[in-house]
Formats: sequence, C-alpha cells, structure tokens
Amino acid sequence: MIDLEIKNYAVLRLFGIDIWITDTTVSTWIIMGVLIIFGIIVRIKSRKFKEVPKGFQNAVEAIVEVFESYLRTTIGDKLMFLGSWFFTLFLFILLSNLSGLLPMMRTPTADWSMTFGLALVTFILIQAMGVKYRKAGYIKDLFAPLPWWCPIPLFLPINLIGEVARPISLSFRLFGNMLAGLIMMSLIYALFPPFVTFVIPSALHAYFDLFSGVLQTYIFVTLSMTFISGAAAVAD
Amino acid sequence: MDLGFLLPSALEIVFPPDRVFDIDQQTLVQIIANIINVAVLAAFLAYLLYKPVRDILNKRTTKIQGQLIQAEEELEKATELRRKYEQIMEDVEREREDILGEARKVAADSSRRLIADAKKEADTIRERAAANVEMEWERAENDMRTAIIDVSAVMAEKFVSLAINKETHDRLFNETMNDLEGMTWRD
Amino acid sequence: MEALAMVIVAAQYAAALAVFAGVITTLGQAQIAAKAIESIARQPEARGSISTSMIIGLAMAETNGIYGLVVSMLLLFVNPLLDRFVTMANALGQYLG
Repeated sequence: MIDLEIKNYAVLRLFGIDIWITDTTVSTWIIMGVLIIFGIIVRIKSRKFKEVPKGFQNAVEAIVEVFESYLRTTIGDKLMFLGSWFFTLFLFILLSNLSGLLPMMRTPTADWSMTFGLALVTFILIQAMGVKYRKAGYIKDLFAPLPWWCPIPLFLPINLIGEVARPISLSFRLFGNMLAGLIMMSLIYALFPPFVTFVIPSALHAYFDLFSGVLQTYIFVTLSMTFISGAAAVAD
Repeated sequence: MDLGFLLPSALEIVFPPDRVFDIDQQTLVQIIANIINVAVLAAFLAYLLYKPVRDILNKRTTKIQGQLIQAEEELEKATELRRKYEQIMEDVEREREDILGEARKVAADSSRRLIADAKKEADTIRERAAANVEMEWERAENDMRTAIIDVSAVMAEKFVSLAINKETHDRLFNETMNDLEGMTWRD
Repeated sequence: MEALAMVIVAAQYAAALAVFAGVITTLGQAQIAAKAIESIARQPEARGSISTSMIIGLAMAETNGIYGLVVSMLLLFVNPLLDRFVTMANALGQYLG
C-alpha cells in the first residue's frame, strides 16, 4: 500500500514560522545521508587513490568523468564552475526518483515544493548568468522585438511570462511524472487484493520508477543546463 | 437565511494535515526548506566527492599530458641531434670530396706539367739529335768530297803514271773503290 | 450542502477534462519520435545528437500536457473555486441574516 498523500510528522517552529517535517523532508534527509556517507567514503578512499584506477575508484572516477564530459558538451567551458551544483542535482534527483522502489519512502520529487525549489534555483541561475555574462544585453532581450518608433514595450509581458513559465513547467514536469507514477501505483495497490500485487507491480515499478525516473532526471538536468547556457550565451 | 453550515466541514484545519499538492504559505516555507537542504547537500558533495575526484582526474590528465609533451620534446631533441649528426656527416663527405678533387687536380696538373716537360725535353733531344745527324751528314759529305777529291787525285796520278789499258784502268778503279769503301766503312 | 457538492463535482469533472490536454500532447510527441526515428534511419552516425535533441523536444512538447495536469491538480487539491464559493456564501449569509 502506497500512500498518495504527504504525511506530516512534526512541526518545527523557527523564528515564529511553522516548518512542517513531512515525508518529503524525511526522504530528503535519508537521501542526503546516503549521498554524504558515500561522499565521505570516497573522500577517505581518495587519499589512497592510485595512478591506475581499479574497482571502487574506477566506478567513482567513471561517474565523475562521464558527468564532466556531458557537462562540458552541454554548457561549455565558461560555466564549468556550476559543475558541482549540477552534479548534486543529478545525483539527488536520480536517487529521489529511484527511492520510489523502496517501500518505506515517499519519492521526494513527487512533492511540488521540492521540484519547484530545484526549478527556482535554476530560474535564479538563469537570470544571474544572463546578467553576469550579457549585462545590459540580457535585459534588453526581455524587451526583444522593440522597433525604434514604438514607445511601449509590447512584448515585455510576453517575455516575462515566458521567463516565469520556465521554472513552473520545469518543476511540474518532474512533479507530474513522479506523481503520476505514484498515483498509478497507489491505485494498483489499492484496487487489487494483496496476492495479485505480489509480482505484477514490478513491471509497473520498472516503468514508472526506473525508466521514467531516469529519463525525467536526465530531462530536468539537461533542460536546466540548456536554459542557463542559453541565457549566458552571447547573442549572435 | 443561514448559510453558515457551509463553513465548518470544508475549512476545518486538521493539524498537521496530509496533502498531495497545495499552494499556500506553508508550501513557500517548504520550498525554502528544500532549497536549503539541497544546497547543504550540494556543498557536502562538492567538498567530499566532486572536487577531489575531479582534481585527481585533472592532475592525472595534466600529468599524462606533461609526459606526452616531454616525450615529444625528447623526440624533437633526438631528431635535432640526428639532423645535426647527418649535417656533420654531410660536411665530412663534402670535405673529403673537396680534398680528393683538389688532390686529383694537383695530380693532374703535375702530371700534365711533367708530361709537357718530358715532351719538351724529348723535343730538344730529338732536335739536338737531328742537328747532330745533319752535322754528321754534312761532315760525312765533306769527308766524302775530300775523299773523292783524294781518289780523283790518286786516280789521276795513276792515270798519269801508268800506261793504262782498259783492263788496268778497271782494275785500278775497282781497287781504289774498294780501298775507298774500306776507308769509309772503317770510319 | 448540495450546492457545495455541486461545486466539488464540477471541479472533479473539470479536472478530468483538463487531463485531456495530454491526448494532443501525445500525438505531438509521437510525431517527434517518428521524425527522430526517420532521421536516425537516414543518418545513423548522428544517432547521439538526434536522440538528445529528440528528448529535449519531447520534454518541450510535454509542457502542454503538464499544464493540463497542473490545472487538474489545482482543481483537485487546491480548489480555488471552493474557497470562492465559501466566501461568497459566507458574505451572502451575513448579508441575508
């Protein structure tokens, strides 16, 4: 039985603001813990890394190297300092999407506040990189088709809506896919008696969690990169 | 008319309520909380995983690149050395050729000069010989002339002194001639 | 009470209809995939870049379906119509009695 809803476990009161400790928060912390422990293991082992990689070292290096080359082809050399953020984004979303396979965890990315948070960071990075690398040109592009004789920036609202739509569509894409999988799975588990739900859901899990999860991770990260590098690219 | 019955069941807040998707103040708070969570994770992962491994990879890359560059430099040096060696060999060859050519020229010169000298000497010798022969010849002619004169004188004497017949005359002449011939041959 | 139920039912129907945006989206995505397969068949060596572009294109085309999903979720879980109805009813009740 999978719960569709995000359960609340506690309320944290900080500076007069209620912060709910929900399923999402707990799952996030678990994934953070797993990743940080993995990082600590790598950090400890990296002191003894040899010139010729083997076994564990080889795997870690392969992950980083593949990601690095993928990053380099997508966003170019000048934005490589964002590499660790995208790396984290990629690993975190991947593990979140795959965590739906575990019975006790609710996928953190099936919570809109999580996906919108990630998309909001992308949005901020888009604007920041646009202003940083193109200065006034980026602002001018918001008023884009503006003939010299036209005193009113006719296209400004449309451009602004386009900008705002990016994080929304980005976040809802991931959220929608993950929640759709969750709804489907919860319906399957709720509809059929337990002995039917023993083997059959594995195929659906394979589709909704594995395939869809990996694909949506890739899409989210790639679209973030494309948007950011598109904003930072000097207009031709 | 009392429509207040609409309110309670619809808006009652269960604390903390389970929900799937909502947009309110709490969502905003959770967005910020999630961003902070992921940012902390990003900081940890960057420090623990991404940067060290990337540094190791970069270091290895630069090292291998350095080795490659070094190998290339060494190859270049070797090529340079080889080129120099070949240059020297070529120089030596050319020098040898020069020296040989010069020697050959000198030899040819001297041989030509020697031949010319020899020819000149031979010429002078021949000339001198020819002159000697001429002189000899002249002297022989003179001798002959004097001898003939002598013979004539002797014959005349004989003609004069003897009554001579034909036979005697021939005998005499032959005798004389034989004498003369013997004289000439002896000289 | 009946009126409130009607609002909720209407919201559920509207949510179900909003999801139908996905039908057109699926047609568009099928078109993209078909074209991508054609391109790969014509130029198998450009497979990598074609499939990357295809996935990005699919994601872009999916936006419409996602908006349908958003609308349906808003209607199901946030339900602004209900709030408005309740406030209106409240105001009306105060005005009347």
